[in-house]
Amino acid sequence: MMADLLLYRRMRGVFWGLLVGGVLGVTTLFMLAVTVPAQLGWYADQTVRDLGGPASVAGGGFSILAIVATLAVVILGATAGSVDHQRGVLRDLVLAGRSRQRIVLGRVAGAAVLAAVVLAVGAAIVVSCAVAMPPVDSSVNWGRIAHEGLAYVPTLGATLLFSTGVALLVGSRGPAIAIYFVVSLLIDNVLRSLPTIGEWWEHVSYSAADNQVHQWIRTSGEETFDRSGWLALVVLVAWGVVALAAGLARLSRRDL
Amino acid sequence: MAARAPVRYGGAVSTPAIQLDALTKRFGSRTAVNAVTLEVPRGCVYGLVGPNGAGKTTLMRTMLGFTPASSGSATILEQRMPRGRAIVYPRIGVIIEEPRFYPFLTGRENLGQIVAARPEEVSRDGVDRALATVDLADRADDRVKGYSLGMRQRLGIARALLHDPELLILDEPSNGLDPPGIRDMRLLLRSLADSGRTVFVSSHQLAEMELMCDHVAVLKDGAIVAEGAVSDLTGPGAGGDGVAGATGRTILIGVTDVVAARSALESHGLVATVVDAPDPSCLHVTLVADAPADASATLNELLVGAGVRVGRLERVTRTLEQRFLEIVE
Repeated sequence: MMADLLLYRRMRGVFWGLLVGGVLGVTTLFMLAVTVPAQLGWYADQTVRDLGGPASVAGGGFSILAIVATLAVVILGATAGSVDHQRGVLRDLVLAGRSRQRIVLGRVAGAAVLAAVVLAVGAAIVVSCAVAMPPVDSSVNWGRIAHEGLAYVPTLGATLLFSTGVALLVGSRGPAIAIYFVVSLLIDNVLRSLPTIGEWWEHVSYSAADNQVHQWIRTSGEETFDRSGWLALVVLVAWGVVALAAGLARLSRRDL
Repeated sequence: MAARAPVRYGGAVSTPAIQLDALTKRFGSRTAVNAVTLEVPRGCVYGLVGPNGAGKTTLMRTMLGFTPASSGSATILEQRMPRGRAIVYPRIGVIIEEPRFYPFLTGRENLGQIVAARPEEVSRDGVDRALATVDLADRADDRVKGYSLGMRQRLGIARALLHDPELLILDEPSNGLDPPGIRDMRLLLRSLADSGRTVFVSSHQLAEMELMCDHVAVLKDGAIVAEGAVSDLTGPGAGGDGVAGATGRTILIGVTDVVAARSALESHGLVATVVDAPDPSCLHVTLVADAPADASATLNELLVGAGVRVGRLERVTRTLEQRFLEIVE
């Protein structure tokens, strides 16, 4: 695990540019841009009321964190699935006696730990700003803040596995990143909008499952329990697991 | 399938380090490796030479199980490949093509990635020792992207040596090395073989191969076209395989009277042909196939007896490069 973490840590673009500068930097700037002017009275009263209390501001912060983190996790996943093959080192790692699957799963675990640490720091920044400098001074609903943040975790996990699987299938990071976004943002939504296929596709759609899971976790404990939330979670996880399994199967047959 | 019965090499009974039996690799209609059969004895440096595209790298990749063979078999360290790779891989060191690394990691960190995959076998001291062996200790903490080709090559050797392998399989290990580096590489590989390890190496540097190898196989169009001890391929016996004519049976004779010498030699039973050498005072004399080892002395006596003074008399040998060119061209 330490060797896997070192690998990402030494990729300056990924570590400093994407994770520290991108995820943490953008999130921090957003939170400061929302909370500091409100504290200084620069916003109109209506704007301050719209921004709301700690939970509301945290929800906004989490959404920004999730957007940037999605990009970061896609790149991390694609890197995990391609770095050894693309750098030509996979053969040497296999010669060292470790199976190809174990090598990749180690890279995925390293990427997951790194992403989790960065997301935890990002979440701490969001919560600190939201609680310390809320535009509207109201009581802190810790449960709601937790739900707002946790709602993004399944999506980011599935995204990591999905992008890793695609990278293993195509053997290269750049195309894997492009394929992830084309599939999740374009093809998936086009299929959902088709007249006949769309009804069926809605049950297995990545973005539909993502939305359902997000709403389910955000509202669980406050609203009625939605059984379809579990099904959506299964669909979301399946996207990641199936892609990763297909990628590992491809990797096992790849010439070294 | 079990390995073959042990065979005898130099008086000791042992199985070959590498045993290939009609190993063939096809890519579509193109045959890259064509029924290669060879045995690499343990404790020697075995060279694989051949022109570009002859199939050297494909042969190595196929026998190691990196790509499936079309037919035939490869046995390494008594394990049939690729089935036995889990047993074989930890016991061998390999460089195939140009060694590749993570450019954003230092040399030491790159080796650390391998150590992490086999922590029970390689210690931190092992990394330091391997880096010192290839004279890279002082640059070990620099990023690999700043390394020259020769330094990467040396780091590749360090990686191959990390776990003290029984068998080294090296594809062009001298690529990018400067002359001292090439010499050091030769001495290193030679010392590894002298300490009982087996080295299977391909290279285009035929002079180095001649100095370094005990055995050589020549690969052309995916097939072995010549194989044997380096001394047999280049020494006085060379040419006996019918590939290159009378290479080892030719004697260069420098005389004071070429006409008289030619007349005396052409009628002698040990002499097959006499032709002019580039030097006008010399003749190239080719002996008959069954000429005795002391034929040169006999001819010397013959010429002296005929009143011809002999100023020069030497066996004509071929370098490995000359033999290689004869074979492949």
